[in-house]
Amino acid sequence: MRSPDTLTSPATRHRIPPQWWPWCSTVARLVLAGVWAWAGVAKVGDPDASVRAVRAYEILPETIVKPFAWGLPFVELALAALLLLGLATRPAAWVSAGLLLVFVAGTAAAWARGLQIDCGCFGGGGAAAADGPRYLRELGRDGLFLCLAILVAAGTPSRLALDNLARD
Amino acid sequence: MPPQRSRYTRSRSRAWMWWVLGAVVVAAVVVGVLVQRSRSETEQAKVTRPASAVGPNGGALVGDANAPVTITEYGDFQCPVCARLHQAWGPTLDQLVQSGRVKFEFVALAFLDQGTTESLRSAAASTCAADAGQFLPYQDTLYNQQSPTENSGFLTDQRLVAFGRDAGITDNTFTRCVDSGRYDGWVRKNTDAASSSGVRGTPTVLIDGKVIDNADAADPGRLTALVAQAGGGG
Repeated sequence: MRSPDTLTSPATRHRIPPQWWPWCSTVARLVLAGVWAWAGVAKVGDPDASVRAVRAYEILPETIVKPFAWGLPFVELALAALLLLGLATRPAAWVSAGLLLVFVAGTAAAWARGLQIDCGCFGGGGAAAADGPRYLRELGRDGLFLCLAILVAAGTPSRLALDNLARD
Repeated sequence: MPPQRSRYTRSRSRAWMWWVLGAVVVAAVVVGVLVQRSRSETEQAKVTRPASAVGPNGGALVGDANAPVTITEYGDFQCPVCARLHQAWGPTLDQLVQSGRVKFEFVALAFLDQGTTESLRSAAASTCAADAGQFLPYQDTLYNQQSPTENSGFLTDQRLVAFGRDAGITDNTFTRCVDSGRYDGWVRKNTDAASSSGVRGTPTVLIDGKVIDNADAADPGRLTALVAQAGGGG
Protein backbone atom coordinates (compact mmCIF):
# COMPACT_ATOMS: atom_id res chain seq x y z
CA MET A 1 0.00 0.00 0.00
CA ARG A 2 1.29 3.43 -0.89
CA SER A 3 1.56 6.13 1.71
CA PRO A 4 -0.87 9.08 1.52
CA ASP A 5 2.12 11.35 1.03
CA THR A 6 3.10 9.91 -2.33
CA LEU A 7 -0.52 9.66 -3.42
CA THR A 8 -1.16 13.39 -3.03
CA SER A 9 2.15 14.57 -4.41
CA PRO A 10 1.49 16.25 -7.77
CA ALA A 11 4.84 15.03 -9.05
CA THR A 12 3.79 11.43 -8.42
CA ARG A 13 0.46 11.90 -10.14
CA HIS A 14 2.26 13.16 -13.22
CA ARG A 15 4.75 10.33 -12.82
CA ILE A 16 7.88 12.42 -12.58
CA PRO A 17 10.40 10.10 -10.90
CA PRO A 18 11.50 11.45 -7.49
CA GLN A 19 15.14 11.62 -8.53
CA TRP A 20 14.18 14.25 -11.11
CA TRP A 21 12.47 16.57 -8.60
CA PRO A 22 15.65 18.46 -7.66
CA TRP A 23 16.27 19.08 -11.35
CA CYS A 24 12.70 20.34 -11.88
CA SER A 25 13.37 22.64 -8.97
CA THR A 26 16.59 23.82 -10.64
CA VAL A 27 14.76 24.57 -13.88
CA ALA A 28 12.02 26.48 -12.03
CA ARG A 29 14.66 28.43 -10.10
CA LEU A 30 16.54 29.41 -13.26
CA VAL A 31 13.36 30.38 -15.12
CA LEU A 32 12.34 32.58 -12.19
CA ALA A 33 15.84 34.11 -12.15
CA GLY A 34 15.43 34.85 -15.86
CA VAL A 35 12.06 36.51 -15.30
CA TRP A 36 13.45 38.81 -12.59
CA ALA A 37 16.54 39.62 -14.66
CA TRP A 38 14.36 40.51 -17.64
CA ALA A 39 12.04 42.65 -15.50
CA GLY A 40 14.94 44.40 -13.77
CA VAL A 41 16.99 45.10 -16.89
CA ALA A 42 13.92 46.42 -18.76
CA LYS A 43 13.16 48.92 -15.97
CA VAL A 44 16.61 49.95 -14.82
CA GLY A 45 17.48 52.05 -17.88
CA ASP A 46 14.64 54.55 -17.52
CA PRO A 47 14.07 55.72 -13.93
CA ASP A 48 11.51 58.32 -15.02
CA ALA A 49 9.42 55.71 -16.86
CA SER A 50 9.46 53.51 -13.72
CA VAL A 51 8.14 56.42 -11.68
CA ARG A 52 5.33 57.03 -14.19
CA ALA A 53 4.43 53.34 -14.24
CA VAL A 54 4.18 53.14 -10.44
CA ARG A 55 2.27 56.42 -10.28
CA ALA A 56 -0.23 55.17 -12.86
CA TYR A 57 -1.57 52.57 -10.40
CA GLU A 58 -2.73 55.48 -8.18
CA ILE A 59 -2.14 53.41 -5.04
CA LEU A 60 1.03 54.69 -3.38
CA PRO A 61 1.33 58.28 -2.08
CA GLU A 62 3.60 60.53 -4.11
CA THR A 63 6.39 60.43 -1.48
CA ILE A 64 6.63 56.63 -1.72
CA VAL A 65 6.25 56.43 -5.51
CA LYS A 66 9.82 57.42 -6.33
CA PRO A 67 11.73 55.25 -3.82
CA PHE A 68 9.53 52.29 -4.81
CA ALA A 69 10.03 52.84 -8.54
CA TRP A 70 13.78 53.37 -8.18
CA GLY A 71 14.41 50.52 -5.75
CA LEU A 72 12.25 47.90 -7.49
CA PRO A 73 14.46 47.11 -10.53
CA PHE A 74 17.46 46.65 -8.26
CA VAL A 75 15.53 44.33 -5.95
CA GLU A 76 14.44 42.35 -9.02
CA LEU A 77 18.05 42.11 -10.19
CA ALA A 78 19.19 41.06 -6.70
CA LEU A 79 16.54 38.29 -6.61
CA ALA A 80 17.66 37.22 -10.08
CA ALA A 81 21.28 36.96 -8.92
CA LEU A 82 20.41 35.00 -5.75
CA LEU A 83 18.17 32.58 -7.66
CA LEU A 84 20.72 32.15 -10.43
CA LEU A 85 23.44 31.29 -7.91
CA GLY A 86 21.12 29.28 -5.71
CA LEU A 87 22.12 31.39 -2.73
CA ALA A 88 19.52 31.82 0.04
CA THR A 89 17.23 30.11 -2.46
CA ARG A 90 14.17 29.44 -0.33
CA PRO A 91 13.97 32.91 1.25
CA ALA A 92 14.58 34.48 -2.18
CA ALA A 93 11.76 32.38 -3.62
CA TRP A 94 9.39 33.31 -0.77
CA VAL A 95 10.16 36.99 -1.26
CA SER A 96 9.64 36.49 -5.01
CA ALA A 97 6.23 34.99 -4.27
CA GLY A 98 5.40 37.89 -1.95
CA LEU A 99 6.44 40.48 -4.53
CA LEU A 100 4.43 38.70 -7.22
CA LEU A 101 1.40 38.76 -4.91
CA VAL A 102 1.89 42.53 -4.55
CA PHE A 103 1.94 42.84 -8.35
CA VAL A 104 -1.17 40.68 -8.69
CA ALA A 105 -2.96 42.82 -6.09
CA GLY A 106 -1.87 46.05 -7.83
CA THR A 107 -2.98 44.85 -11.25
CA ALA A 108 -6.29 43.56 -9.90
CA ALA A 109 -6.87 46.88 -8.13
CA ALA A 110 -6.15 48.81 -11.34
CA TRP A 111 -8.54 46.56 -13.25
CA ALA A 112 -11.27 46.82 -10.62
CA ARG A 113 -11.09 50.62 -10.70
CA GLY A 114 -11.25 50.67 -14.51
CA LEU A 115 -7.85 52.33 -14.95
CA GLN A 116 -6.50 52.23 -18.50
CA ILE A 117 -2.89 51.34 -17.79
CA ASP A 118 -0.18 48.89 -18.73
CA CYS A 119 1.37 47.03 -15.79
CA GLY A 120 4.86 48.29 -16.63
CA CYS A 121 6.08 44.84 -15.57
CA PHE A 122 8.82 44.71 -18.17
CA GLY A 123 9.58 48.40 -18.62
CA GLY A 124 7.62 51.27 -20.04
CA GLY A 125 5.85 54.11 -18.34
CA GLY A 126 2.45 52.57 -17.67
CA ALA A 127 0.70 53.83 -20.81
CA ALA A 128 -1.77 51.21 -22.05
CA ALA A 129 -1.28 49.73 -25.50
CA ALA A 130 -3.36 51.05 -28.38
CA ASP A 131 -5.89 48.21 -28.06
CA GLY A 132 -6.33 48.83 -24.35
CA PRO A 133 -5.04 47.23 -21.15
CA ARG A 134 -4.39 43.48 -20.95
CA TYR A 135 -5.15 42.80 -17.33
CA LEU A 136 -6.19 39.16 -17.75
CA ARG A 137 -2.99 38.29 -19.60
CA GLU A 138 -0.86 40.13 -17.00
CA LEU A 139 -2.59 38.35 -14.11
CA GLY A 140 -2.24 34.97 -15.80
CA ARG A 141 1.45 35.54 -16.38
CA ASP A 142 2.03 36.63 -12.79
CA GLY A 143 0.05 33.60 -11.58
CA LEU A 144 2.33 31.32 -13.56
CA PHE A 145 5.43 32.96 -12.09
CA LEU A 146 3.86 32.68 -8.64
CA CYS A 147 3.53 28.89 -9.10
CA LEU A 148 7.23 28.69 -10.03
CA ALA A 149 8.20 30.75 -6.97
CA ILE A 150 6.18 28.54 -4.63
CA LEU A 151 7.65 25.40 -6.22
CA VAL A 152 11.17 26.70 -5.57
CA ALA A 153 10.30 27.95 -2.09
CA ALA A 154 8.49 24.88 -0.79
CA GLY A 155 9.53 22.05 -3.10
CA THR A 156 12.54 19.77 -3.21
CA PRO A 157 15.87 21.62 -2.83
CA SER A 158 17.39 22.19 -6.25
CA ARG A 159 20.66 21.00 -7.77
CA LEU A 160 23.45 23.33 -8.89
CA ALA A 161 22.93 25.72 -5.99
CA LEU A 162 25.47 27.43 -3.75
CA ASP A 163 23.22 26.59 -0.80
CA ASN A 164 24.16 22.92 -1.25
CA LEU A 165 27.78 23.69 -0.23
CA ALA A 166 26.57 24.72 3.22
CA ARG A 167 24.57 21.53 3.77
CA ASP A 168 26.17 18.64 5.63
CA MET B 1 20.14 10.77 10.55
CA PRO B 2 17.58 11.18 13.37
CA PRO B 3 14.68 13.49 12.53
CA GLN B 4 15.49 15.97 15.35
CA ARG B 5 18.97 16.62 14.07
CA SER B 6 17.83 17.10 10.50
CA ARG B 7 15.19 19.59 11.60
CA TYR B 8 17.82 21.42 13.65
CA THR B 9 20.27 21.79 10.77
CA ARG B 10 17.48 22.82 8.44
CA SER B 11 16.25 25.62 10.67
CA ARG B 12 19.80 26.78 11.32
CA SER B 13 20.65 26.90 7.63
CA ARG B 14 17.44 28.83 6.94
CA ALA B 15 18.32 31.46 9.52
CA TRP B 16 21.53 32.51 7.79
CA MET B 17 19.73 32.46 4.46
CA TRP B 18 17.21 35.02 5.66
CA TRP B 19 20.05 37.24 6.88
CA VAL B 20 21.78 37.01 3.50
CA LEU B 21 18.54 37.77 1.69
CA GLY B 22 17.68 40.70 3.97
CA ALA B 23 21.10 42.25 3.53
CA VAL B 24 21.01 41.85 -0.25
CA VAL B 25 17.50 43.29 -0.59
CA VAL B 26 18.20 46.27 1.67
CA ALA B 27 21.43 46.98 -0.22
CA ALA B 28 19.55 46.74 -3.52
CA VAL B 29 16.93 49.25 -2.38
CA VAL B 30 19.52 51.73 -1.06
CA VAL B 31 21.77 51.46 -4.13
CA GLY B 32 18.75 51.60 -6.45
CA VAL B 33 17.29 54.74 -4.92
CA LEU B 34 20.66 56.53 -4.87
CA VAL B 35 21.66 55.55 -8.42
CA GLN B 36 18.28 56.16 -10.03
CA ARG B 37 17.73 59.45 -8.23
CA SER B 38 21.06 60.83 -9.38
CA ARG B 39 20.39 59.66 -12.95
CA SER B 40 16.93 61.20 -12.97
CA GLU B 41 18.27 64.48 -11.55
CA THR B 42 21.09 64.56 -14.12
CA GLU B 43 18.55 64.18 -16.93
CA GLN B 44 16.17 66.76 -15.56
CA ALA B 45 18.99 69.26 -14.97
CA LYS B 46 19.50 69.44 -18.72
CA VAL B 47 16.26 71.34 -19.25
CA THR B 48 16.40 74.02 -21.93
CA ARG B 49 13.36 76.24 -22.30
CA PRO B 50 12.23 76.59 -25.93
CA ALA B 51 12.64 79.89 -27.74
CA SER B 52 9.16 79.50 -29.27
CA ALA B 53 5.83 80.11 -27.54
CA VAL B 54 5.07 77.70 -24.72
CA GLY B 55 1.67 76.90 -23.19
CA PRO B 56 0.87 76.46 -19.49
CA ASN B 57 1.76 72.74 -19.63
CA GLY B 58 5.04 73.20 -21.45
CA GLY B 59 3.67 72.35 -24.90
CA ALA B 60 4.10 74.21 -28.18
CA LEU B 61 1.51 76.99 -28.40
CA VAL B 62 -0.21 77.74 -31.68
CA GLY B 63 -2.64 80.54 -32.52
CA ASP B 64 -3.65 83.89 -31.08
CA ALA B 65 -2.37 84.20 -27.50
CA ASN B 66 -5.54 86.19 -26.65
CA ALA B 67 -7.96 83.53 -27.91
CA PRO B 68 -10.66 82.93 -25.27
CA VAL B 69 -10.45 79.12 -25.25
CA THR B 70 -7.43 76.84 -24.89
CA ILE B 71 -7.39 73.33 -26.28
CA THR B 72 -4.55 71.22 -24.92
CA GLU B 73 -3.53 67.89 -26.37
CA TYR B 74 -1.11 65.53 -24.69
CA GLY B 75 0.21 63.38 -27.51
CA ASP B 76 2.97 60.98 -28.42
CA PHE B 77 4.19 60.81 -32.02
CA GLN B 78 4.31 57.01 -31.82
CA CYS B 79 0.71 56.74 -30.64
CA PRO B 80 -1.65 55.43 -33.34
CA VAL B 81 -4.81 56.79 -31.69
CA CYS B 82 -3.17 60.25 -31.62
CA ALA B 83 -2.54 59.99 -35.37
CA ARG B 84 -6.18 59.02 -35.92
CA LEU B 85 -7.36 61.93 -33.80
CA HIS B 86 -5.10 64.20 -35.83
CA GLN B 87 -6.80 63.11 -39.06
CA ALA B 88 -10.26 63.36 -37.52
CA TRP B 89 -10.11 66.78 -35.88
CA GLY B 90 -7.36 68.46 -37.94
CA PRO B 91 -9.57 70.59 -40.25
CA THR B 92 -11.93 71.64 -37.42
CA LEU B 93 -9.05 72.50 -35.14
CA ASP B 94 -7.31 74.53 -37.86
CA GLN B 95 -10.51 76.46 -38.43
CA LEU B 96 -11.05 77.13 -34.72
CA VAL B 97 -7.46 78.35 -34.34
CA GLN B 98 -7.55 80.51 -37.48
CA SER B 99 -10.82 82.15 -36.44
CA GLY B 100 -9.09 83.30 -33.24
CA ARG B 101 -11.51 81.43 -30.97
CA VAL B 102 -8.98 78.83 -29.85
CA LYS B 103 -5.32 78.64 -29.03
CA PHE B 104 -3.89 75.15 -29.29
CA GLU B 105 -1.25 73.72 -26.99
CA PHE B 106 0.36 70.45 -28.00
CA VAL B 107 2.36 68.78 -25.26
CA ALA B 108 4.57 66.17 -26.94
CA LEU B 109 5.24 63.36 -24.47
CA ALA B 110 7.68 60.46 -24.28
CA PHE B 111 5.08 57.98 -23.06
CA LEU B 112 5.49 54.99 -25.34
CA ASP B 113 9.25 54.44 -25.27
CA GLN B 114 10.14 50.97 -23.96
CA GLY B 115 13.84 51.29 -23.32
CA THR B 116 13.96 53.20 -26.62
CA THR B 117 13.97 56.94 -27.33
CA GLU B 118 11.76 57.35 -30.38
CA SER B 119 8.94 59.16 -28.60
CA LEU B 120 11.46 61.29 -26.72
CA ARG B 121 13.49 62.25 -29.79
CA SER B 122 10.46 62.98 -31.98
CA ALA B 123 8.89 65.09 -29.23
CA ALA B 124 12.14 67.03 -28.82
CA ALA B 125 12.40 67.43 -32.62
CA SER B 126 8.86 68.87 -32.72
CA THR B 127 10.00 71.51 -30.24
CA CYS B 128 12.91 72.32 -32.59
CA ALA B 129 10.33 72.66 -35.38
CA ALA B 130 8.30 75.02 -33.21
CA ASP B 131 11.43 77.17 -32.80
CA ALA B 132 11.72 77.18 -36.60
CA GLY B 133 8.11 78.41 -36.78
CA GLN B 134 6.86 75.22 -38.42
CA PHE B 135 5.29 73.28 -35.58
CA LEU B 136 1.98 72.38 -37.26
CA PRO B 137 3.46 71.21 -40.60
CA TYR B 138 6.02 69.14 -38.69
CA GLN B 139 3.40 67.60 -36.41
CA ASP B 140 1.33 66.85 -39.52
CA THR B 141 4.29 65.09 -41.15
CA LEU B 142 5.12 63.04 -38.05
CA TYR B 143 1.55 61.80 -37.66
CA ASN B 144 0.96 61.16 -41.37
CA GLN B 145 4.24 59.25 -41.75
CA GLN B 146 3.86 57.32 -38.49
CA SER B 147 5.27 53.79 -38.48
CA PRO B 148 2.59 51.11 -37.93
CA THR B 149 4.74 49.56 -35.18
CA GLU B 150 5.96 51.36 -32.06
CA ASN B 151 9.62 51.36 -31.03
CA SER B 152 10.71 49.74 -34.28
CA GLY B 153 13.70 52.02 -34.82
CA PHE B 154 11.80 54.02 -37.44
CA LEU B 155 12.21 57.49 -35.91
CA THR B 156 15.97 57.98 -36.30
CA ASP B 157 17.56 61.43 -36.02
CA GLN B 158 18.19 61.25 -39.75
CA ARG B 159 14.53 60.68 -40.48
CA LEU B 160 13.44 63.36 -38.01
CA VAL B 161 15.66 65.85 -39.87
CA ALA B 162 14.34 64.66 -43.24
CA PHE B 163 10.75 65.14 -42.00
CA GLY B 164 11.78 68.71 -41.18
CA ARG B 165 12.69 69.30 -44.80
CA ASP B 166 9.33 67.79 -45.87
CA ALA B 167 7.66 70.28 -43.54
CA GLY B 168 9.52 73.15 -45.18
CA ILE B 169 12.31 73.71 -42.63
CA THR B 170 15.55 74.50 -44.45
CA ASP B 171 17.41 76.06 -41.53
CA ASN B 172 20.54 74.25 -40.30
CA THR B 173 19.73 75.34 -36.75
CA PHE B 174 16.92 72.75 -36.83
CA THR B 175 19.32 69.95 -37.76
CA ARG B 176 21.67 70.90 -34.95
CA CYS B 177 18.77 71.18 -32.51
CA VAL B 178 17.58 67.65 -33.37
CA ASP B 179 21.04 66.06 -33.41
CA SER B 180 22.17 67.61 -30.13
CA GLY B 181 19.03 66.54 -28.27
CA ARG B 182 18.56 70.15 -27.23
CA TYR B 183 15.02 69.62 -25.91
CA ASP B 184 15.32 66.06 -24.55
CA GLY B 185 15.39 67.37 -20.98
CA TRP B 186 12.44 69.66 -21.67
CA VAL B 187 10.38 66.73 -22.97
CA ARG B 188 11.34 64.57 -19.95
CA LYS B 189 10.26 67.36 -17.64
CA ASN B 190 6.92 67.81 -19.44
CA THR B 191 6.35 64.05 -19.44
CA ASP B 192 6.99 63.84 -15.71
CA ALA B 193 4.72 66.83 -15.05
CA ALA B 194 1.98 65.31 -17.19
CA SER B 195 2.14 62.04 -15.26
CA SER B 196 2.08 63.96 -11.96
CA SER B 197 -1.04 65.84 -13.03
CA GLY B 198 -2.86 62.61 -13.84
CA VAL B 199 -2.32 62.12 -17.57
CA ARG B 200 -2.22 58.32 -18.01
CA GLY B 201 -2.38 57.91 -21.74
CA THR B 202 -2.25 59.63 -25.09
CA PRO B 203 -4.09 61.35 -26.56
CA THR B 204 -5.55 63.27 -23.64
CA VAL B 205 -7.48 66.35 -24.71
CA LEU B 206 -8.47 69.24 -22.45
CA ILE B 207 -10.57 72.33 -23.06
CA ASP B 208 -9.58 75.07 -20.65
CA GLY B 209 -7.98 72.50 -18.35
CA LYS B 210 -10.90 70.05 -18.30
CA VAL B 211 -10.42 66.62 -19.88
CA ILE B 212 -12.89 65.87 -22.67
CA ASP B 213 -13.77 62.53 -24.21
CA ASN B 214 -11.59 61.62 -27.20
CA ALA B 215 -14.73 60.70 -29.14
CA ASP B 216 -16.06 64.25 -28.60
CA ALA B 217 -12.75 65.71 -29.74
CA ALA B 218 -12.85 63.64 -32.92
CA ASP B 219 -16.38 64.75 -33.80
CA PRO B 220 -16.35 68.20 -35.51
CA GLY B 221 -19.87 69.12 -34.37
CA ARG B 222 -19.37 68.17 -30.74
CA LEU B 223 -15.91 69.76 -30.61
CA THR B 224 -17.25 73.05 -31.93
CA ALA B 225 -20.15 72.90 -29.45
CA LEU B 226 -17.79 72.28 -26.52
CA VAL B 227 -15.63 75.23 -27.60
CA ALA B 228 -18.73 77.43 -27.85
CA GLN B 229 -19.80 76.30 -24.36
CA ALA B 230 -16.36 77.21 -23.01
CA GLY B 231 -16.80 80.78 -24.27
CA GLY B 232 -15.44 80.59 -27.79
CA GLY B 233 -18.84 81.31 -29.37
CA GLY B 234 -19.70 81.24 -33.08
